[in-house]
Amino acid sequence: MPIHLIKGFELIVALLAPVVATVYFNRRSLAAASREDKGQVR
Amino acid sequence: MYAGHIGFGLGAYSFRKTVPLWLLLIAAQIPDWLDAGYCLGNMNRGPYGLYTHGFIPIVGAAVLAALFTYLLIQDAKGALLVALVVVSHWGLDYLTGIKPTWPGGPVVGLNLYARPVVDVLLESATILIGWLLYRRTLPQSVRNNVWTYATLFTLCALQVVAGAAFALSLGGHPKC
Repeated sequence: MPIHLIKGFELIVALLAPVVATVYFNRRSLAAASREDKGQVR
Repeated sequence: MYAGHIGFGLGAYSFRKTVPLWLLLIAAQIPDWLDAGYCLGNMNRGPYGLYTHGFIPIVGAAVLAALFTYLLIQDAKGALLVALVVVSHWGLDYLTGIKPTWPGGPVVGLNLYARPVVDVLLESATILIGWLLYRRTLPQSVRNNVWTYATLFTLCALQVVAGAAFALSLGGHPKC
């Protein structure tokens, strides 16, 4: 695979990692809050 | 700057919750996404990345991102916030790297990448401030939730790994 493609994909992975992690954790936090509102979590 | 951009986007989210979080985070990274596109296309990014990190591409990206945001959520203040987040990229990169300005203009920056420990501390501080602002947007019941803290620790961990790789020259070579 050409080096520019490898480096391009490396960069995309590096950029996606913090975005995906942050959005995922945000959704888990909000889901936990929703469950607590419904009294399903003690 | 790397994860510090995400910290800035997190902080911006606390000022306008009508804007999707993912959109602010991507907006904070847009010039780096342009880099990725140039890499994949095997195109020259210009001297010091002028075509992706110069004033012209950043202002252009800010306008386009604001228009996209307005079409998405019909919120002018939200669109303005996204534009400001895009422009913030240059300011934050000024602290850590050496960045272009305009065609024929100077290249400027404090180049804290040359001091990896200072760079990690600065980026971690940016992440922490952004996270503290973001945390206030969450319901009280989950502000101390494991997922809420996972955001902070994951971003700082990614920054440390990226900083170490850069310092060891694993990432110290040109992006493309």
